[in-house]
Amino acid sequence: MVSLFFLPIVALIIFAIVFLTKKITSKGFRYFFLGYTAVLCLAVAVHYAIPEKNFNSDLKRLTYSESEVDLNAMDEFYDALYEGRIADVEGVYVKSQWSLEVEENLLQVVSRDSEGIPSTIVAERKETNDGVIEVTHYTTKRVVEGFDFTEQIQPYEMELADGVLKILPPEEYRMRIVAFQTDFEISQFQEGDGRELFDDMDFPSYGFGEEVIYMKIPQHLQVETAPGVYLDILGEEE
Amino acid sequence: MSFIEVNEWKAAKKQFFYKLTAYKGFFISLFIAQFVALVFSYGGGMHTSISVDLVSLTVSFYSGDMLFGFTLIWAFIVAAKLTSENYRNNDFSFVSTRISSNLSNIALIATLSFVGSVTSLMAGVLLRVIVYFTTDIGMIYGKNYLLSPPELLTGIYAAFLYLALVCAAGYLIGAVVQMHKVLIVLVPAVLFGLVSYELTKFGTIRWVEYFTSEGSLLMFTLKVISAVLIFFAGALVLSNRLEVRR
Repeated sequence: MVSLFFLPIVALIIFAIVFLTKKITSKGFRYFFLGYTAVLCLAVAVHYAIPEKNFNSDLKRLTYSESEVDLNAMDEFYDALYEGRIADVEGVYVKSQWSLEVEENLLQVVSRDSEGIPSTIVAERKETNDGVIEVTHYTTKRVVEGFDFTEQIQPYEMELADGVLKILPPEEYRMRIVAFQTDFEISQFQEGDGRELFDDMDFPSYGFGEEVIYMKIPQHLQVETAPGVYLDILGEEE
Repeated sequence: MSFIEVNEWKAAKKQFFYKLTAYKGFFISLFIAQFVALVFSYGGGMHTSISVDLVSLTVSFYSGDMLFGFTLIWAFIVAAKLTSENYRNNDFSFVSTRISSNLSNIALIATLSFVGSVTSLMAGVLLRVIVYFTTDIGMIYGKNYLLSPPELLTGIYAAFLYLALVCAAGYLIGAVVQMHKVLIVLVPAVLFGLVSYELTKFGTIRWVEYFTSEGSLLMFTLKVISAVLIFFAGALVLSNRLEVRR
């Protein structure tokens, strides 16, 4: 309906153009005609001179079959996490690891702000009181619209001082993609659909990926969290 | 072939070449319309943004659709204009009949459609080249960027048929409008009403979808040729009923 609204406006513009160019001189016509066709021919020549390898090969969308392991890892993620076997799941990767020494008996977990904190922070009590917090950032592949951003997303930063553990999220990874739709009058007669960039419907079209900050803490360490930070300790009810 | 028929063809041919020169402004208006569409397509590409956790992805889409859309509208206007009184009277600078006048118009329409189809597809390629040189290459998603020569030729062929169809429709509507002044208002109003009705009731325009949903190029060709023949025959019948200036 929107295009229907613009149709009369565009028609009016083109009508005006047709009216205004009615009395063009032969010389003007020649310049216009030759100039325009020359630019178009040049564009076609340049287009076919562009090597395909020039395009960023990293900008490759994952297919469904390539992502099967990752999608399975997603399905299994939370069961495995709360059963303490997250490290064994195929398709779950270690993004970063930290080993932090804590002298205090009380640990406060805070963040810079509530934005960008991993939604899941899980802790497991160790058998010992060795004064070391072992932190592992587990992640599945992080895919948005079929593009794999796992490598591009920077790791979190951890700072431990005076019994306060700061989890600092990385900057949001911003990316712009320029894509082309095959012209309608071509795609109409093609198999598949060159009109949609994101057209494989059995693939999670929006995005997928899970992550967790998994901590192994000394047995008797008490843990408090700042508002907005949620932490589960395995085997302990809240 | 009779003597009269030969003369009809000769007259039509002569008129066609005369019209090619006299109506050269049509070609220039096509180029300007395509240039405007090119500017709009480049500046007003569709953008979608997705933000998931720590990733913000913006996708800018480009296509030659607007170029083709503008070319279709241009084709309709130009074809309809050919039936207007001023243009019809030009035919009588020659020895001319309604038949030769219509034949030369059809030949002109075919030429305009051909030029429109070739230039609109090539302008789509120009848009791709402009985007290529004005965008960081690392951001360009290669899929659909390169149009293979067979794709380009298919596009030109299909665009030619679409333009011929729209021109024939414009020519017929132009001929209808010439019958009475009140039809200048009535015909566009009826058309607009019909389109609105189809969109509201069916969510699509069925008589447009009849052509756009055809996936076989052969069937599409047959459908378009049939429709074009019907439209031109209708225009021919109507123009014969118009007063002949002698």
